[in-house]
Amino acid sequence: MFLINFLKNILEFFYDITFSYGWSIILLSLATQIIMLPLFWIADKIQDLEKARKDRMQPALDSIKNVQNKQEKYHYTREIYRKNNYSPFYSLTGLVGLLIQIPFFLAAYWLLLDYYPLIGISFGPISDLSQPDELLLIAGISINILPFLMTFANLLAAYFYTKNQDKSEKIQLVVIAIVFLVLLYNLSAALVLFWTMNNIFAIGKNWFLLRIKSTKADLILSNSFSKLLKILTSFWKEYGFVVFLLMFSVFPLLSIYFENIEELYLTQSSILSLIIVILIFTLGITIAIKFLVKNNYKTQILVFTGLSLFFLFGHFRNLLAAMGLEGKLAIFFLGLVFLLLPAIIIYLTLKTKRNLKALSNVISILSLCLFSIVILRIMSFGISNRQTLLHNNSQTTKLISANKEQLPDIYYIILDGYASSQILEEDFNFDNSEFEDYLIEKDFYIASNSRSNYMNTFLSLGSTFNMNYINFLSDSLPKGSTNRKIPYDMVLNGNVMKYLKDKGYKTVHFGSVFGGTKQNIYADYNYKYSSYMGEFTTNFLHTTILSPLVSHFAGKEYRKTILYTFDHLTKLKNIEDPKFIFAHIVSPHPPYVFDENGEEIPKSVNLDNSWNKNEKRFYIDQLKFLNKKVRILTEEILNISENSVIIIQSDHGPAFLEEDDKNASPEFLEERSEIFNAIYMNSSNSNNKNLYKDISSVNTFRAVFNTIFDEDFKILEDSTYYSTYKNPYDFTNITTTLDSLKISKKE
Amino acid sequence: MLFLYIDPGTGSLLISLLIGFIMTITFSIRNFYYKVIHFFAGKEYKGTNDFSGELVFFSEGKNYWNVFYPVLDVLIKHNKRFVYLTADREDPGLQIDSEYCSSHYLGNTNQAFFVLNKLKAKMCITTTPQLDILNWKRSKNVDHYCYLSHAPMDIHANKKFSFDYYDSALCGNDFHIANLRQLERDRNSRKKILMKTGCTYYDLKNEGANEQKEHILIAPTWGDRSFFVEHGELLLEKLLEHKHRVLYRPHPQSWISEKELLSIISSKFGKNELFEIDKRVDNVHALSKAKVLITDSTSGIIYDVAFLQKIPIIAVDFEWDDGGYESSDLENPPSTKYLLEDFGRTITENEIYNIHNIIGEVSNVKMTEEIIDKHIFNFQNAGSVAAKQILSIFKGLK
Repeated sequence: MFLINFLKNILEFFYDITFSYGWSIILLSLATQIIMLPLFWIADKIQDLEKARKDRMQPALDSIKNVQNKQEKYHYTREIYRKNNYSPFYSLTGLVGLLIQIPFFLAAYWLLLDYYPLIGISFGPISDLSQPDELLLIAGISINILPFLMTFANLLAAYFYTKNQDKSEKIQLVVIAIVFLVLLYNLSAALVLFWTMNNIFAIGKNWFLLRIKSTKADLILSNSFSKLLKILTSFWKEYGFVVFLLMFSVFPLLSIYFENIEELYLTQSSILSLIIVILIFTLGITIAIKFLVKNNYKTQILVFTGLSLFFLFGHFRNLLAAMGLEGKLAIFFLGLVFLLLPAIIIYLTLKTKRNLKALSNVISILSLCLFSIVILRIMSFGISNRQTLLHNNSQTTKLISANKEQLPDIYYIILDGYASSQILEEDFNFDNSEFEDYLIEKDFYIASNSRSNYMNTFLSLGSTFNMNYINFLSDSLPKGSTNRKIPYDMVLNGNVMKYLKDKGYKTVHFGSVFGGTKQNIYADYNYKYSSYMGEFTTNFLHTTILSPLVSHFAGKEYRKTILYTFDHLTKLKNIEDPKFIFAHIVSPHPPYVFDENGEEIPKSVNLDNSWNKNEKRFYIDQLKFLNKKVRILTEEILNISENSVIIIQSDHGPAFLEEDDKNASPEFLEERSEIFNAIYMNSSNSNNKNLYKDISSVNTFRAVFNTIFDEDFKILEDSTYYSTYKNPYDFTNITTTLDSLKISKKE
Repeated sequence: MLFLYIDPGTGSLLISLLIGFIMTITFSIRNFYYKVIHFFAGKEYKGTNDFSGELVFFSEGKNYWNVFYPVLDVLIKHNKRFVYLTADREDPGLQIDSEYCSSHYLGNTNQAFFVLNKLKAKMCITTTPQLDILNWKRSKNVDHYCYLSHAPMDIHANKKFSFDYYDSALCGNDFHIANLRQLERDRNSRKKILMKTGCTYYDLKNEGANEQKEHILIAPTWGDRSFFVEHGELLLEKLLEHKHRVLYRPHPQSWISEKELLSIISSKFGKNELFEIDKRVDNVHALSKAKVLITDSTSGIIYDVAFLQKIPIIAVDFEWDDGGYESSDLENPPSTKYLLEDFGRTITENEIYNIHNIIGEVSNVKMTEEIIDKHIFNFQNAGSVAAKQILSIFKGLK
């Protein structure tokens, strides 16, 4: 990411000088070659050293060439390697030259593939740098010329580079050239131009490297370099195993990150800090154990075992659950694996006097493999999804800006999973009228038949903040996508936010405990209970051996975050008016952390966030406490100014009736879609003329803006769409189902 | 689902782990292939491998008994305790009846190595080369490994890296010592204790009887290390031309592998009354009749014939592919060459034409004690010397 920005800055710098993106790309290509020059020089030296080492061993290897017995020959070869301190992996150093180019190539790829300033920019015969060049038209088929030019340059560079090398290396480079042709053929001319020039400059670079070879400066530098390399190799020999352990230690985290890469929007920073914590933790443990056992192999085995057990605990428990093992049996198995197994391994490792090098090697290779797999998967996702993400960003409608006057502060409070009064009465036997009466007395309008438009938070909030239905996403996203970035972009920087910013509003975001609304980089102000670990961290820790502790700890943090939000919503005096204040309070949604007086609830209650039928009374208690907090909040807000807008809304209802994804009963759909929706606009009752009891959340801001800004937004038809978590963009319109259920109930 | 919004990804993690394991196995398979084979070769020996603090001998089989016996005999006579391990059920060592010796059969060679790789002992003495190169690994719990020469030959014909991981070697002659030192130097391998020992099996051998000696004995080795395959016919022609009585004794392996060569030889020369093929199992008869021996320069019998039968020897020097043998790394020629300077001749392939004159020259050379002392340490007294040397090393170990 750093490299992409770096290249972008260089590109823009050249553009400022040349006023031509075409020339800028060529200069960028030259610049990268110059930047990489020292790296290439190092790669060259490493290759020379490797070659010298091989040359040294060659006579010995030649002398056993004709040994007939394969096993004997294998052992002799190993012995020659052993005597020369050689590892077959050293032969990979030939790839160093290629490897150092990869980050630059990927950065250029990501930068130039869809760099929007290039759209429609011509350069010489190329009409649009953001598209394939299509320079030749034969029989109605357009052919891209630039890629062939690139391949030619590529082969030319390869020819000069491998002049003194053997055939296999030549073949290697030709194959790579062809692969590049296939890969880049249909991509933007900008990218192909960059790579073509790169290859042309590479010829010059190789000539330069050859030229400086064996000059005095080169010799002095190579000398100090080989000394440095010697220090590094001896360091690697002693501490290389630590690097493998570090790789392994971040593998489980990265694996979860990859699994949720589409959902985890805006949480990269917390992942980075988690990675740092894990690395420091692993390093510390390793140093401590090394100090105790004084043997690298044993240290590696012990730390590896420890890390495995630590990080795989939750996964193992999930696995047992998936196999139907729960309760005491599961605890027995967990105990077996997580107490007995480590005890045996520690005992054997400490006791043995055998050379554990082979085992240590296996661990190193395994760590490297696991790390590479997850990194490759993350990178491949980055490449394949970048385009769709960027292009969909522009799916917002233009809005007319309004005239300036005395504008009210707007408070938008989402109470996640708050049931409608009707559902509370029917399903929970709970009469919420006392709370509603209070709000009505305070001039709130309560939309008693209000529904959300979607069943899941990110879709529901996305459409509310977009002031539009978002069904179009099922067409523009790949089938089966679970992408949450686009809906959240709509929440954090969608139509509502843009409209209000145009109006001169300052936007204030209260960070929730949950990924999508954890913070808002587009908001003018972010408020957040600072030490909250965050949803991802909590979840990650749930897969580790700390799982039992995490629930308890997370519960406390959860409480604090919600209380912090209520306490600080009205303490924003130093922010100039008008302000839009958004708080997503993930409650009364489970986990249950408040009783009706706001005290902690007994530890025996499960602290996960699933809807468990046996826990309905905790839900009601938590809801009662929220009612109290909302009352206090309302008083505080109205104390500051009666000229405020307060929207208290749920994003969707509870899900106690959910059976499974496939069989959604009408009763569940009703429970889930009916929402609590109370809106206060100024003290005058006439202001509620745009509100009606069936208003759904998508129309919230249309109605509010029509009222307070005298806008003329069309009120959309109120519909509700069902989709599952696993397949969120596969929508079914359930409005008539819900309506007919309502009618039948009345009858 | 635990937390609604995040998938812990157990399934994906499992898949990653699986791929990781498969990749690891693929990468490591070459390393483990021979180990696995070795492991499944199994273990027959059920007894202990714990001989902590003891002096342990390991023999690959009964063929080496005459190398070990002179040493063990001295140890028993001096009431010194030792353990004798063997990979041969018929090893006479298993019959040793002495309170100072415990002997054990470990199974076949591979099974024996399985036990030996975990051996616990203070010192281990063996005639098996290539420790820590092939399947026999140095055990961490053996303080000292000692190589006992089983032939007076020096190390040219030994396989690569035969002695690099021994702590000491009981050597046959000065050439042997010089060559080992050269390899230590070139390979930067461990500096061994090298003892002037000699060859123990001569302690058991008598010098040959003096019969009427008038035959030229041709006893080559076999295969591509033998000159006879290519130049045998020429040699026989030249000898018979000059009316020498010729006794051709093929290598035992030739009767199996070189039947064609043997049938050509017997059809061509079988009718000549001066020519005889020796088919006897042991070589006593052949040696007793020979006045000169013609063989290959790498042949193992040169020393025995020279020291015990005192028959002059003509060795045909022959270019052979020594890749895979210590010879390829050695500066000096094989020590047999020095012996033949004193007691015979080394000739080139071309000199076969002149064989009659050469026989004339070497026939008169006499073996002396001086020559023996120069080419072998402690002739017919090596057993007690070896025993003393072993005990002195053993005592020096902590």
